[in-house]
Amino acid sequence: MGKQGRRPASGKPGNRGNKHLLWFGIATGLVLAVGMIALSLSGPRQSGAGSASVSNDASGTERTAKGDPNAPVIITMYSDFQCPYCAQAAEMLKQVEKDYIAKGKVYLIYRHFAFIGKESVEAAEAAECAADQGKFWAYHDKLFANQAGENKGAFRPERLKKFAQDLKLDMKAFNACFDSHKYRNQIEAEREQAKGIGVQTTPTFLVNGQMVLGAYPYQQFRQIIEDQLARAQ
Amino acid sequence: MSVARALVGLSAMGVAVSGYLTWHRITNTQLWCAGFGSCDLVNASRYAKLAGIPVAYLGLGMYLTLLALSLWAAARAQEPPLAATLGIFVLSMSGFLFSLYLTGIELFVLHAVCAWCVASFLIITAIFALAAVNLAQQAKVTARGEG
Repeated sequence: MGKQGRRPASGKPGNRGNKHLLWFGIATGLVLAVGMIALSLSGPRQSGAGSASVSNDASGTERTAKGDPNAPVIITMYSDFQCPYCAQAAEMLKQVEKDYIAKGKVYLIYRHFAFIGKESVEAAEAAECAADQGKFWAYHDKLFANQAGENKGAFRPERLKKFAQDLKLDMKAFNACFDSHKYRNQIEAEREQAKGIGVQTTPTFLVNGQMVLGAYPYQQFRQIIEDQLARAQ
Repeated sequence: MSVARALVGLSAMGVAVSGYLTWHRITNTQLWCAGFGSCDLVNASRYAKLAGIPVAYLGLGMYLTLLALSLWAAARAQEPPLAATLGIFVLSMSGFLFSLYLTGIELFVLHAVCAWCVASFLIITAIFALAAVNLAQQAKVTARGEG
């Protein structure tokens, strides 16, 4: 570029040179763009088993999150309330809460990936209605504690309302929220967006961008957190 | 306002937008999403990196280079160096096409739009349009001068 660039300043190039220059510019721009797009499309896909690296996930204060938003490690959990492995993972995360979240080292974000069926979506809607009253996590625990098969009535509307009652939520507000399907669109959109970043199954975790699939035992999961903590320092 | 100055202004705006996204990446703070869109989701997707490098960094590098080149061209407004005009054209063309691709990904794959990415797309589109006009004009002027 430098050589060609200097030419006109000295007033040497002819018509043909200028035309060539235009085409040279267009061709170089095209090659660069096509190269970058090809590189982008061939980037890592988050499918298959194990863990793959993706970019950092979102931070910030969220309704369905716990811990310090400025913690060095951010864990996003994509989960379905009907999925038994998610219940296992939620149990394991209680240990994470004690050792890392409470100490300001981990910020945990819960994201709905309600894909098992109608009761998954309704349970997620109910949990969001509980979040309206600041009780997301209590409702979350209640749901996982009451799992009983998939789409077999464990999370039918009456039961979901009963859970809210047990947690002493304002039932008028909860029912209004739940019956109007206030959060249905959001939950559907959350699932589609998660698919967009490569989530296919539950539970899926993003640990500072590292994708981790499945319910790991605490010791293994702890190691992943420790690795990310070491990297963050 | 001359085209050269407009290019300087637009490049500076690009530096501001991509600089903010870069700062967000480095400090891992919450993105202010200007009230619409899903910036965090877009920036968490696999498309937010190119060969392991965050796209925000690449954008900042591109806008800084564009700013330097357009300042160079503006300083010699009477006879802008062809290297600068050509450089701005090539960079903005590839930037525009890549942005177009990323916008397509946002709309049709992620179904989420990031306000900052849209802002950057508009800026690079304007730069590319001006750069194309500039290069075509300069080529014509040089050709006429010799004819």
